[in-house]
Amino acid sequence: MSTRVHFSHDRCPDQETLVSFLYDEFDGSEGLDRRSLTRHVESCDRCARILASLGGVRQRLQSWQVPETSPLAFRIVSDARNQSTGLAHGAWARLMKPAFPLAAAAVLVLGAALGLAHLDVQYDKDGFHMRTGWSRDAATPPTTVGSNGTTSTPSVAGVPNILSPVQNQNKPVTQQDIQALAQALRAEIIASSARLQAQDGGRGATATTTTASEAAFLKRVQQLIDQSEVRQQQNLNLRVTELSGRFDLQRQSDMATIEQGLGKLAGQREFDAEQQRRLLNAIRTSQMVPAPR
Amino acid sequence: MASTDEELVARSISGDMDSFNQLVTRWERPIYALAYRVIGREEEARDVCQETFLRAFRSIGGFRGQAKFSSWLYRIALNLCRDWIRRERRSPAMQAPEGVDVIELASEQGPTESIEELVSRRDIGRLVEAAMATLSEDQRAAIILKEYQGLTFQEIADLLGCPLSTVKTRLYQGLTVLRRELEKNGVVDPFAARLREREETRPVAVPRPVPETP
Repeated sequence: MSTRVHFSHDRCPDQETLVSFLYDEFDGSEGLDRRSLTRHVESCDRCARILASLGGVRQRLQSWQVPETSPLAFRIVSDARNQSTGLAHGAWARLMKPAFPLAAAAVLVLGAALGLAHLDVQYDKDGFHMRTGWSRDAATPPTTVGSNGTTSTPSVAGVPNILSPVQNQNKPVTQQDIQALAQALRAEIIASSARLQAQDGGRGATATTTTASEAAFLKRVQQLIDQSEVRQQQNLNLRVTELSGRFDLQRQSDMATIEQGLGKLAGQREFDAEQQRRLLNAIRTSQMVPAPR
Repeated sequence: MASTDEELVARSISGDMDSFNQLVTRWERPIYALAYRVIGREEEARDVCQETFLRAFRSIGGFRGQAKFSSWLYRIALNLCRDWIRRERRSPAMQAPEGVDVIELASEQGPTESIEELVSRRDIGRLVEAAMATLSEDQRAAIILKEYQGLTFQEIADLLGCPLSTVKTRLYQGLTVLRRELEKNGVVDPFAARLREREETRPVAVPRPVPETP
């Protein structure tokens, strides 16, 4: 049995029904007899007034415009969700993922810098000594390295010991030595990477090769630099456009002010002239009046 | 032929960034408009808009198409706007109506609109903006989604997570508050004025004079 709500002359619809009528949006769940509702609204002054005023508000709402703005220039350029390194799994991987490439780069740079700085580290009975520079102090003869290991130098297994001028004081450090050091550092990084993977429980994550890892890292750095440049360019363009717009507005405003000022001056001149004319007329009129007897 | 949102979403889920960027291009303006109307500040609205798309991109894999993509975006944007409002711990910074810059207006004057009409529209727009700031957060959201974003009652209810009847009540009450605020600021309701005019000009039944008895 239908339970449609009918609206008689003296039965007004509730707020929700009026809103549905206002927006002409009925979803059928109201169970309304729309014909009787329409008849009621047309004949009921109260409902007609409410609907008219709410309709008026709706019309006024359209006056509120969102300020024109340039496009956001926002685009997704890289999907970080799909990027993976050789350390793809495990807690270590999560910890090391962002830090590892940077740490590797830092170690390489540091190694090269130490080589160039000609770092000399010594530990003997006088204590710990660290010295940099290519020129040796003649007053302090180089310490000989004893078999008891009292002198230590930072060394990596299998690396030509270019860091110690103590051992190689007569042999100048060459570019090849530095390259060898860099290679050794890389090898050490890879070895530590492999160790980390082994600690990760051997979950089958395949170690990337040196070249692939480096290439991916360099590619990522290049991508970041490219993105940064694009962003900077876009920001610059946006600023220039904004500046240009503001300049135009200011110019128009200044022109209007100047014109207004000129108009006022012209008006003032006319007003003064009119005053003078009136004054002259008054003087003439007063002179024409016959003197009293 | 342009792809539908659903097609672009499907391609985005499978990793096609261009498809997602097409969605950005398609929806950035409505999302910006929503954010601006809720927050009331241009720069912050841009930030919210950008963050909306970033979040959508990050979690698009979890979008199962239960709702329309636009509704899903609106929900993210609204949540961000609410976060922003709560963070600011103050009502949206709507600009109070103030003097109208005729020069600025003249530059955007349309071919069919006189300067007087333009001034009037801008003026009323600012009054509407100020009146909207007096609404509660819920009422404002309902009115913005209905009036400016064109959502259905049901979509608004789904988005705001409330019953359909609540949406209608919020709309009714919100519009009533707006009418009062606008009238307070001297904005005449054209429909109501027309109605009053009609009532005033309606012929009134004048009682026939009773003939005097001799």
